[in-house]
Amino acid sequence: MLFNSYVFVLFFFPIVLIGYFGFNHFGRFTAAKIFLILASLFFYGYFNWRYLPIIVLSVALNYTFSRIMLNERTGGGARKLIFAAALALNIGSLFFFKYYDFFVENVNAVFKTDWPLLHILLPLGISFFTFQQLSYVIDSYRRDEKIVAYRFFDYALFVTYFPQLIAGPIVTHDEMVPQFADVGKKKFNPESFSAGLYAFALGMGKKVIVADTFGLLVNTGFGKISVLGPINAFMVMLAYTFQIYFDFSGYCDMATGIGKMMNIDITMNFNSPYKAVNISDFWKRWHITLTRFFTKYVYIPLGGNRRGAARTYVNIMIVFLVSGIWHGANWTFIVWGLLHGLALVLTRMIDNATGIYSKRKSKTVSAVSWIFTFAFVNLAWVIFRADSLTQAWQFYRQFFDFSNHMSGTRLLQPMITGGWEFVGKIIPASDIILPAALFVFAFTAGVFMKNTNERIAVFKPDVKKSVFTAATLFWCIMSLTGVATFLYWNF
Amino acid sequence: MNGKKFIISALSVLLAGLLSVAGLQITVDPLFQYHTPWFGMQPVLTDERYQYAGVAKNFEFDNVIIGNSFCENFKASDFDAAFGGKTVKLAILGSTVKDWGLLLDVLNRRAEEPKYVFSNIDPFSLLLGAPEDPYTLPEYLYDNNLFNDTGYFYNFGTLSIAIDSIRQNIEGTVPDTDTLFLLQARGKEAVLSTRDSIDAVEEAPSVEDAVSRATGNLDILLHYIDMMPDTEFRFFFTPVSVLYWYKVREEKNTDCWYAVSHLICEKLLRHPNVRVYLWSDEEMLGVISDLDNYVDEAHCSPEICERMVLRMRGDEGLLSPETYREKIDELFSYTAGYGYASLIG
Repeated sequence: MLFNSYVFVLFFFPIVLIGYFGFNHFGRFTAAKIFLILASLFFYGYFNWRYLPIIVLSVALNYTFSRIMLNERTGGGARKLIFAAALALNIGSLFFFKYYDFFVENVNAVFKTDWPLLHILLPLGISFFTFQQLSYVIDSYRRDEKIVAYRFFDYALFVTYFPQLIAGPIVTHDEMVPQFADVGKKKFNPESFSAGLYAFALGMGKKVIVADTFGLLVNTGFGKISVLGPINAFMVMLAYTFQIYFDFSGYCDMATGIGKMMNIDITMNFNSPYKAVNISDFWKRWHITLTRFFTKYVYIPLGGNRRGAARTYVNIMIVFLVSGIWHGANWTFIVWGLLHGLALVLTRMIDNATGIYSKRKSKTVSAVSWIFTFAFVNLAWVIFRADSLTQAWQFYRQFFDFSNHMSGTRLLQPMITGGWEFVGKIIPASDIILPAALFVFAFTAGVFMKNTNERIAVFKPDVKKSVFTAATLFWCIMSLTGVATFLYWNF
Repeated sequence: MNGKKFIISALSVLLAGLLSVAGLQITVDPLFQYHTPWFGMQPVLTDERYQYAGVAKNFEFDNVIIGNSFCENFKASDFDAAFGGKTVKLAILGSTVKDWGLLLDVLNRRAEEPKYVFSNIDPFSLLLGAPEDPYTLPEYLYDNNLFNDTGYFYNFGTLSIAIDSIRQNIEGTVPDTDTLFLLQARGKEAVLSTRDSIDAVEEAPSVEDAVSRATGNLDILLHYIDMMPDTEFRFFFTPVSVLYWYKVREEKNTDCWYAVSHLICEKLLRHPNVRVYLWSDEEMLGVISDLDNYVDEAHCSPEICERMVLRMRGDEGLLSPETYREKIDELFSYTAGYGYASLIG
């Protein structure tokens, strides 16, 4: 089920709120948790019920492995064995469902073999719930200082809680489970609910009104790469930069809002990444919980920056290679990850040599560096969006192809649809003005304005925000039919 | 303002907006899902895919034209005159046979099934989409499930149709439904200059695959043909121009088309409530050879369509299990031997 669907907004979520607060109101706290788990599984299985056994089995097995590893009587050898089994289960299932066909395709291409492809349907959000559980399993093996042997329902709720189930953030057990146990959070709280409603409206607006509109331009552009020409190619590239940010961060804002309405604080996943002044800064702001996971479970175990500059750079490249692979079974994601790794290595080298990012910061350097960072991120997104490296190369070539390009107005045409078409009826030359305004707005919002987390941190209810919330939700609900699916679904 | 007031005011404004839109949509019902237009308004038809489901559900009629763009150039009034009763045109541009099945499903659920269903049938349409492909129609409008109608009420697109319906009724500018979506012949030069590009094909497509796909699609139609025994289905082989036959030949599709043409006849002619027409007589071969009769390389003019209605009325070109092979051979033999060089230059 999608957040941006009628069934979620008009039926599922209101029923969940009534059920969850209802059980809690009568002191049936365990029943409330079970209700929330069942609701989350319904949310998950609504798209395709065949996914359900996979997540249920994954939760049950990971919980069992962790409990055994956390048992005082489990010896070192047995713990290692269980840990190996848990890693094999999680990484193996992720490989099987997500990468098997990609692997076989490449083996077939290199060795001229004819191994059959399985064409397996990727279970929704498998990358997210696998990583979330991996973190708990690894912490259980290490007997991390924060680890707790939770009751099954607490663990199951931590993994399946629907706001963060299919597209993150990749939350940790110590962030979530104590909140579900906190009696002070079990009662309907109008202040928290109003902030959550506002965040949900902001997120849905970002996704439905902004990201999906840019998506229409991007789809058209990528469908006609050979006739784009430099200006259109630049426009499509920028549009995708905005689409992916407003799409993914909009989803996370909705998750934050839903959590907040239920008195649950969901970890921040985006902190205005397009404000980043270098690539290191970008990855501290973009998909923060994924960076955190890779830092804790890949980069630091590899030695982090403790084994000299050369080894640090190798570790960074390994992390970004894994990150690229995590994002999808395609060479485009791998190359995209490696490019970001290289950019980060370069940033480190420059900083090590000059100290301009750590010791001798200046506004001028930050401004110039921001331009380079934004340009790099834009160019790299092209590879991320392309179906293949060949297509990405075709796209880049358009920046230098001055012949035979399509009209920019025709390219912008698909954006004027749904609510924008209505707005367009009262604005002259709307086919140019509206897309231009949307570009300006997206740039301003991404680079200069406060993000949703910053807004709800200081949220004070007022009439203006109330009307804005109602109007945004109205526009979104009126636009839900035919809206695109979340871009981060398949990662 | 405190949190409680914020929630109440935001949700009240939202609810008021949603209820107002739902009220307008139910009253005007621009997609005719619940009723024909009220208050003496004329139906405004602007979107085949979205509105024909409602027309099929709620309008009064005796006969139906389904099919794809090959049937768009028919006038319902020509069928009224030839076959009696009231005919509605529900032909949908670019629709697949699977889509026709969805429409037939709605027709099958009507209290009174149509007397005649008219449609094109041809290898092109049977090979256009596979039965496992998704519908090209908004499915939620073709069922009777009220719960998924939220996509109808709360939709800027349908709201726009509702507002346009009111405006056109007030201004008296509602288009005549009989001539809606009709395209006139454009002349030989225009047809030649705008013809589709021909895909370079090294190897002829598999006949086996084509027959398999066409069988799946025909089975969809046969399901409803059996479910609606009191309805007479009249299918006609689309008389595409020789220019289109040239494309079929150059793309090495002739064998597939030949096999599928036979399959159509074999499967459909077994059913007592089906008639199939194929025109391979001198007059119609003359029609397909004259590009002045066409809108483009495939779609013939409303005047030719009118002649086709009269031919169906008079059972000219009616196929039988005994004659269909010969008629198919006549058509394929003519198009195979046509002097394309003189046409293309």
